[in-house]
Amino acid sequence: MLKVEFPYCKFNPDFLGCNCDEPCLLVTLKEGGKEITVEAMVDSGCTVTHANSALAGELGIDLRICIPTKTIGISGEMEEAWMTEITFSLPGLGDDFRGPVLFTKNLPVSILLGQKNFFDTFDVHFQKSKHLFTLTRVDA
Amino acid sequence: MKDIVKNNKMRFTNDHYGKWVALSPDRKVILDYSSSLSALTRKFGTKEVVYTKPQDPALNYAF
Repeated sequence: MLKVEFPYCKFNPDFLGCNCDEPCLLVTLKEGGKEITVEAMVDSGCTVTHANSALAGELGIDLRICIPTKTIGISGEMEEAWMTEITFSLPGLGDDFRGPVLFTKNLPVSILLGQKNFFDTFDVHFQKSKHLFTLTRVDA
Repeated sequence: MKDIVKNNKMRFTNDHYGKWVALSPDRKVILDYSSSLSALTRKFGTKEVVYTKPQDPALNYAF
C-alpha cells in the first residue's frame, strides 16, 4: 500500500510556502512534454481540482481549446473557467495519473487539489492534532 | 526586492503576497518573486524549482 505522511505547513518552519495551518504538498503538473512543480493545497470542498490559469500557459495549454465552464466561490460570484485534463505526479505515491483540472484566472493560490480526481485517487486522512495528513493511494 | 531574495532565512512578507514566488526544490530558499509566473520560469525554468503563490496571513480564505 502506498502511503505517505505530510506535515501541516505551519508546523514545518523549515519550509517556506504556505503561511497557514494547511495541508500543502508538492505536485508536479505535466502536459505535452512540459512540466512544472507547484505547492498545492488539498481541499476537500473543491469539487474539481482548480488551478491558476498562469499554469496553463507554462504547460502549453491553450485555454481557447479547453471546455469553457464556470466556477463559483464563497462570494457566490461566478467566474469563467476552462476545463481540461493533465497529468499529476506525486513522488512516492505511485504512477503519474491523469485527471481533470479547471483553470481560472483569479485563484489566489497555485492549485487546489479537489474531489475530482485527487480524492478519487487518494484516501486523505487529516490529523490536525498531530500536525499531519496522510495520503493513501487507492488504485495501487 | 534583492534584500529579501538575498536573505534566505527570511519568510514571506507583504512583497510576496499575491505574487508568484520561485523556491528552491527543498523550499528553504526564496529565489525570486514576480506578478508574472512566466517571468520567473524564463529565469529559473521549470526543473529544480518550486513555484507557489503564498497566502497573505492578514486575510481569511474560504478554501
